[in-house]
Amino acid sequence: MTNGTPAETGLEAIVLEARRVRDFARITDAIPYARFLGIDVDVKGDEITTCMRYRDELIGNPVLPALHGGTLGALLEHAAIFELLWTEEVKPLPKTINITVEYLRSARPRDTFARAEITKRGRRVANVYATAWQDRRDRPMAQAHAHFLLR
Amino acid sequence: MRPDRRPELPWGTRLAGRSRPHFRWKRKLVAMTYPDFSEPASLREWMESIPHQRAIGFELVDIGAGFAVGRIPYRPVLVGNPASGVVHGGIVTTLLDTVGGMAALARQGEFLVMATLDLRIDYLRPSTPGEDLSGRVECYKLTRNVAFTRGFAFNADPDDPLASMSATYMLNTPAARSSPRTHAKP
Repeated sequence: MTNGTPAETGLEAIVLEARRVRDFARITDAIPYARFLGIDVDVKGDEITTCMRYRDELIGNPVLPALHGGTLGALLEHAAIFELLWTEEVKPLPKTINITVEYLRSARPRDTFARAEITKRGRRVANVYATAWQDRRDRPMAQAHAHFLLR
Repeated sequence: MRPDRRPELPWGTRLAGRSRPHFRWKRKLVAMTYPDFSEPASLREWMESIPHQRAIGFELVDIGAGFAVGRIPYRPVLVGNPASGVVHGGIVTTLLDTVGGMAALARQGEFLVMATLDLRIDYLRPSTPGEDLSGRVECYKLTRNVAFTRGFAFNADPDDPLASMSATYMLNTPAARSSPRTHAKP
């Protein structure tokens, strides 16, 4: 979630520089909440996979145990924003209008991965679909549909 | 329940309905692991025992007839945009998911095992930098299997929401466990 103040050109400049040198770590390092969740991004060609490294602080149900549902939602939102930042010329930064998260399975205490795909990019709004999985990509833990305001 | 966790039974033991030992065992597990719902202090203690709630500094502010209020104090690690200092949308998701679950428990009036089925969040405005994040969610309908909730996140003034949410949770209620199957086996 961002607002339209001129101060945010800082992150925009980081995004442009990261795209130029093709180093995604510059973006994740600049976002405190992404560092807090342990998120890093694997870039292969034009495909990016967002990874949330397992840490004990992500546990939401110590009995099962399972990751907190909110962390999965946050991971999916990160994946959707990163997909827009990396593959589309978006300026200013996209603002989340809404996100719908569907939880399919409980997430085990392991690394979690997410990938997003832009269903439609309009002039003002982009529709993005994201899925998160752990061991097998055909067994997703959660999926999300989100709308982003692009200007 | 996983079969390997079932207590050993002598071969041929026949017990009826809810008095079967593995039901008693299950209830005992819930009593051991989950708090007494009538004790707000025990509830707060349980919330703080969850690693992620502790990591983000979640506080249960109020819980009553079918609603719950929670708060996450502002901390720089939760920021999504370092230039503006606005917290990330993901933390709003975590807050409202947690408070929504508590609201469903509040309506049931006892502890339940539950899982979020879906969660929709509309971001109405950016969170004010430096201010705590609060959420108030009400559970407006509870069935045997599903809890329906809706609520808002706000900074200081509940009448100036920053996000709205609507979520459903699958419940493991005693009624759902004891109800007869509605779909016949082929």
